[in-house]
Amino acid sequence: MKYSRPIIVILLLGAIGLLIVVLSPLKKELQTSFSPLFQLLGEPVKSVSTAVGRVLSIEDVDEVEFGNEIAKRFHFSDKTHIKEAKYLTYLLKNLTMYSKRKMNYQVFLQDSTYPNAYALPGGTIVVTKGLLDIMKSESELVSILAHEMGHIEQSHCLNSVKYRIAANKIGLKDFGALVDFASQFLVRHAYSKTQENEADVYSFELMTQTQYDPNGVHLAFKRIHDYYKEKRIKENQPTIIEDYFASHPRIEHRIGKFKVKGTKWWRRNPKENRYIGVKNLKERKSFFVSQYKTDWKTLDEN
Amino acid sequence: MFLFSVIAIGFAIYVVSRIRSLERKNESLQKIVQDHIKEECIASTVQSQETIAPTRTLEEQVGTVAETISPPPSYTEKIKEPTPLEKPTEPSKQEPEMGFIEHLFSSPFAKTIERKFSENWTGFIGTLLLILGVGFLSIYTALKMAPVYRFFMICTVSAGLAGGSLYLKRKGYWELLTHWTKSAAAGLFLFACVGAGGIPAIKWIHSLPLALLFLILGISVNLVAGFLSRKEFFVSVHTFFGLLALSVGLPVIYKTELFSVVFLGIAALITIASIVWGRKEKWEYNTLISVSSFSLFHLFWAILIGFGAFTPLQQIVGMGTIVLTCGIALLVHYSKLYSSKKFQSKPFWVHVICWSWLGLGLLQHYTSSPWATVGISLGAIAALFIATQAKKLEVRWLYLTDSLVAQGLGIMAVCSFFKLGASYSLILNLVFCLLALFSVVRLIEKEKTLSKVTDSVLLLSGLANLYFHIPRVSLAYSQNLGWSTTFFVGATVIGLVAHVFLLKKTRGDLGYQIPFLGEGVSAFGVILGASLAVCYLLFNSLGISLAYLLLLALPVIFIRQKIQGNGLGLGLGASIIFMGVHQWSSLLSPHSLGIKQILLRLLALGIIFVAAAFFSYVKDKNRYYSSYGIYLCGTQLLLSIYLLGTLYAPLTIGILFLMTSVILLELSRVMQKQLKHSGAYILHAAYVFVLAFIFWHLSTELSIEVLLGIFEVKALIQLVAILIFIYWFFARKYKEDVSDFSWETIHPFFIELTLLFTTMLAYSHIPGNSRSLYWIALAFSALYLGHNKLLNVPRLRTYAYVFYIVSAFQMTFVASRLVSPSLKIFDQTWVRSLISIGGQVGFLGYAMKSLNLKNVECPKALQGIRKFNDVVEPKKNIFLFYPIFICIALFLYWTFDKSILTLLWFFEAFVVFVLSIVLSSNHFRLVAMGAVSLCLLRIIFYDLTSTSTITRAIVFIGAGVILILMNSAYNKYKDRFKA
Repeated sequence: MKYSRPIIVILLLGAIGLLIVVLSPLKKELQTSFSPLFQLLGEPVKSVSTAVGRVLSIEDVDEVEFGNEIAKRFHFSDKTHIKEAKYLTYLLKNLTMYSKRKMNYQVFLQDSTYPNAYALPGGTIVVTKGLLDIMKSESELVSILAHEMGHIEQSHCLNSVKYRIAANKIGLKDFGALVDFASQFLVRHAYSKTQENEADVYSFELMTQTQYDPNGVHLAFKRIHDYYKEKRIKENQPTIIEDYFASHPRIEHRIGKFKVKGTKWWRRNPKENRYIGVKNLKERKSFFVSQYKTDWKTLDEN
Repeated sequence: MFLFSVIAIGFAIYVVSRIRSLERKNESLQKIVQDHIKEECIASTVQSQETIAPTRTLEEQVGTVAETISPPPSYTEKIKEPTPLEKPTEPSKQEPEMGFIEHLFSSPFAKTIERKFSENWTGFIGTLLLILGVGFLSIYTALKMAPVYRFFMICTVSAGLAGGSLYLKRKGYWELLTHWTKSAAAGLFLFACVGAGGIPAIKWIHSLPLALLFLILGISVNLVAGFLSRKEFFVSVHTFFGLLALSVGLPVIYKTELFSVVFLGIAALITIASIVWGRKEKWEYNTLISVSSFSLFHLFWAILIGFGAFTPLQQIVGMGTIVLTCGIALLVHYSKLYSSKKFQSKPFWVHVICWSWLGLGLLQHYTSSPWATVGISLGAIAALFIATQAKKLEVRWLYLTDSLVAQGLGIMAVCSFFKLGASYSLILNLVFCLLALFSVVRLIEKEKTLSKVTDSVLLLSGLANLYFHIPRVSLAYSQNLGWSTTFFVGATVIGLVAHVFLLKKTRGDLGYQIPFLGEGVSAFGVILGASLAVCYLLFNSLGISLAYLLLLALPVIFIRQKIQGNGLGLGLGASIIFMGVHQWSSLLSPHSLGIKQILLRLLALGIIFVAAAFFSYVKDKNRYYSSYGIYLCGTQLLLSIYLLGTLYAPLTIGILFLMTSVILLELSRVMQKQLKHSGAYILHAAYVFVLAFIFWHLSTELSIEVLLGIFEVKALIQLVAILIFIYWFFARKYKEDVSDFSWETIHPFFIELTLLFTTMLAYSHIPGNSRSLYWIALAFSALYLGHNKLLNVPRLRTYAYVFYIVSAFQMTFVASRLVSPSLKIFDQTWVRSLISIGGQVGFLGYAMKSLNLKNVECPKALQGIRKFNDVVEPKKNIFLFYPIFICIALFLYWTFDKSILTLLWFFEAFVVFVLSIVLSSNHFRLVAMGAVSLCLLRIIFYDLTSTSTITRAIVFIGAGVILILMNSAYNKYKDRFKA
């Protein structure tokens, strides 16, 4: 017992030393960022917000009803891009097999060159033409659709309109809208990164359930990052304040995180064959319509 | 002529009538005075024999009477002093009523003004008006008489006045009027003489030498008249008149070099004569007026000739006369007449003004010639010499004044080097050295006043020297930086030598001290210490290696301890901190420094910091002030790890911080054991490393996405951190008597830090729908460890309860909203939630047995936990069970199909009922019965109408079975409830 403390110290320092020796060769350029911290700190805030939404007792039917009303106000259908719209609808339809909520999923194509996608309450997903242009494979595009689906499945869209829907039931729609606006204005930034992360994780898990390559998730983020680089958008290192008010986690962190997850998944499933779908995207033909041998990948090819 | 005669006669009649009226007044006054003396003598004999009134001269008595304007009642009042038995009469009733004007002039100040005006200024103004009147008369007669007659006419008036003066002189009482008339006569004659050669209306002499002769004659007569009066006022006035007359003639002759210098010479002679005349009488005002008049005359002379346009003769004579007149005026005070240790304000200010006139006069002759510097230096030496004479004569104020002037001249002499092309840096440093020298000299002379003044100036000089040598701010930067550095370092070394000398001589009685920093903190020492920072900046700007700074810094650190210079130590400390911060910021900024340069800089700073920590003994306090040295060493180590880590192994930085914290912790404990030292500073440095790790981890490592085999590096780091924090928590101070706030206030919180990092790890890696499992697992662990005696953290039991509640909340309100796309059964949220419920029930059982929240000891900052425990403990069952009952009910409602909900709630009510039997709790039994009642209502109003037949059948059968079971159980164990 007399020497137990020195022994513990030596063992502890030895273990740390060993870890240092092992880690030393790993070269990684580190950047200061408070985005992950804010994402972590957003967890309790998001939990409270979710709990409040839970107590308000809004059913899926209410959300769908509300979403349908919103969707009616938009005219996303573009006759010049019927092929793309059909392609997206087909892809989403195959993804909704994994949905656990009774939502009315529909996807619209928006004629915008800026790469973006967003989800509305009730199951409406909007994808811009620009996003289709920068994606290089079907797996990447599907991961984006899965991400937006994640927002709907995890009730993130509902969270932003929960008071309006609840108040609508008792005829106080405007009051509910006001409360929604106030709550979103005050606390939305505290947990929006947390929600985005949840949607990312959902997307990755959904990808693992399908035949697509889970690496599509980080590759999709990489395409967006490359687009930013090319157009010189978001070049400067964000400050701590910018990190707080950013709605999404930093794209570099998302790429890194899901690259690691993808690598781990492939290590756990070495015998798997997964589909990329480069040609499918080019030809706007879904994996379920036609498959190309060259687009199948194994662990060795990753 | 007629008019003149009329005025003269009128004036004569006025003078005679005035004289008669004055004589009458004089007689009446003498009578009053005699009466008053008689009365006073009677009064003094009536009073005590011991209190004999002092004998008063006749003039004094007259003065007293004249001041009171002798109203009869006042005298009676003086005689009739009230005896103690008599009631004092109210003064207001006895005083005559005063009008507004009387009231206005009744104050002592107004009376003083009135008296001064009556005694002096009436005569002066009268004389002046007379002269002016005659002047106007001359002008009036200008068209009617030739100038020469006018001259003689004025001379006649002057002679008349002189005659009047002689007549009045015989009447002893009219002495003052005698002086005035004599003065007026002399003034008129001077005016006539000046006018004869220079004023157009009476100018009749056209030869310059003759005009000059007349002028000299007039001035001579004027001065003689003034000097003969033997009155300061008249001497000063006639000196002024003499110089005024010369200045009237000056515009005519200044272009001729000879005449210009002659005029100046005459002016100087007049002034000197005046000063010398009043020397023995200590006529300070006369000295002041004479010197000031001459200086103004000299200024007028210089303006007419033009500054810088003097011929060598004019230059020499100009400077010579200034030095002579002002010098004599200054030397006047070097007399035994002024011997006094007390401060004499009037001579002092006259002396100072004379010095100022001397300085201003010489400034008008200042050239860029090196002789100017020589002259000022000689002046300084001369001033120093005469100051020593003043000391011998025991005129203390004079000694102090002239010593300071000598110092000032010395500084001016150094400053005049600028005209010779010397740099600002050289001048500033020379001034600094000179003042340091003065400071030492003053100390040797034991002159406290001079020492204080010198030290204060030295302080200002030191501050100026510091400021102007800061690169990019300083003047030195625009000049030769190399030389500036050399001068500065040289001056610092000289200053240091002086400081060592001063400290050794005056231990406990330093010069200027900084009061708010405590006794013995010399301001000069602080500046010298701070000089090291400026040396560093200069070295840095020149690109000189920090290693050279070691040569300068280390001896200073050592000397400080040797001489116990507290001020020096303070300045040195500030310098070292500044150097550290500056060097760190430069190392942290983007740079292209090679590893060798980085290492060299870190090493140099490290040596300085270690030396600062080691040689930090302060004898007065009997302790080492090593804290800042240790903190700097710690910060240096921290930055070294960061810098080298960033270059070679970025992923190890956080772990290295943690490892260093452990090493420092152990070092602190070893110090406690081996050296009987608290080791607190090292412990604080260790805390800083822990904080650095936390900051580094949260700001940088959280975004690391790197795999080491199958492990994420981020998770490995967090695991190591948790281990180290646990180790930290278990670390105890070696001796119980070691007192440091950190052991009591910071150390206990490592358990909370461990929990925080554990949660962070969990949230980073556990999916949302499994987090309730994490929380319940944590609750189990906390409850278990809360009873561990080795760990001895009873507040963990409270945390266990909180974690249990969080688990229930997470499961019900958060996880029930989360869905997994996975099709595997175990991945489903509801499955994980059910497992979690199992855990929570298990925890309930464990808590019923072990959760004791009584008398839980907590650190001071967490006293709220005790209050929380006091609320929970008495109703522990309610606080434990109700949350889970509600959460499970809601979980069932939100997770499962509404059709079987009634059955599930029946089952929950049954579980509560069983629990009531186990716990023999009527309370829970009633709750269970209430829940059953609600379920029955739901069966009737919902299930009968809204569910399908088969579901309805299952629900009814299930509910029936449960109710039968409840009935059986109740009948079997109902005795428990009675108890």
